[in-house]
Amino acid sequence: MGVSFVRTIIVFVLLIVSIRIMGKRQLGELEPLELVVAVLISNLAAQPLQDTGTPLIYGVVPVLTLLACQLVISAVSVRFPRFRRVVSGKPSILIDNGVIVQREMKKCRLSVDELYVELRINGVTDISQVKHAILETDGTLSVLPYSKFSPATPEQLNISAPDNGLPVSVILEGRVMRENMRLLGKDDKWLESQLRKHGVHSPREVYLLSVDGSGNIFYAKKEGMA
Amino acid sequence: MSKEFFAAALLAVLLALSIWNTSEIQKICDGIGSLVNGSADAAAEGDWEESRQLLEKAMKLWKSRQGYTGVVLRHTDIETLTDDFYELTEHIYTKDAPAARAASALVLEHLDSIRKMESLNMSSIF
Repeated sequence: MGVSFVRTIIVFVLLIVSIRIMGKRQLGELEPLELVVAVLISNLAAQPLQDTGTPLIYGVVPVLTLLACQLVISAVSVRFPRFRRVVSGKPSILIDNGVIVQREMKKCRLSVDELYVELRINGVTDISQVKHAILETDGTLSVLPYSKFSPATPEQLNISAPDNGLPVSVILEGRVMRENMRLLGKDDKWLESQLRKHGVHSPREVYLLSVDGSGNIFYAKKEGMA
Repeated sequence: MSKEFFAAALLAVLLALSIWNTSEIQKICDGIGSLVNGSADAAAEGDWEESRQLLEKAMKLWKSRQGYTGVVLRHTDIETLTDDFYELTEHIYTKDAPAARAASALVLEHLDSIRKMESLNMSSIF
């Protein structure tokens, strides 16, 4: 038990250090700390399940140790930014004021081709439109174009854009969501009229029917229904 | 913040339990080990009755702690040591001195191996 506890802490620290050295590109939208816990927990939990000769405590102690370490390190990271930088690293500015920072690209082991891929994922095809590109600590690239290439907002265009609010499902895969109907202040009569309007006789024929804050309705019929 | 305090407390509890477990396993192994040693000494002196009684005490102690050892030790280790005990008992009953000596050494070796595996030192951790 004691050996499992100490071993878990050693492997945990070792993996965080390794992942930090590997760099942000390996992370896949997880912080180093989250990645380490995700990778370790599944394996640790599976071992005593597969081998009934291994006491369950050999899986329970490491999982609890990891959980506690993760929570403690997260809390310390929030309190001490410098510690957070040690555990998670800091964002890398790859394009600064339109200039590719080659030193940072090298440090992140990122080729220009790969930078282009990341930019395309962000909807940018012309690198000259990018003012700042920042590789975040979780490995994702934030792209900030020059203001002249940024999409215009309704406010800039001086037009009003209604806020439609959050759509709420009324029928989900044939089932009527009574609680949502109550929240929307709708009754069965309203539901029947909506079904009639869309040419269906029963909620079972509906895949999705949702209503947003402005009363706009989204309707999708179930496939294979006459 | 209470979640974080809980996590820190959990770590402290796990550490305390680990240390307690290590000392408990040492205690069990030492207790059984001294009885098996005594039994081996008695057998060497030809006092088979004393040897049998001490061995039975050792086995009783081992079996009485199996609720605990079953939770913290690998089941293969428990089974191996139990088998070693039965083998030693057989040799004590048949008054076979050389075989009893060898079987005692095997039991003590396995006890030592369990003690080493559960103790917190460089060789058990790495």
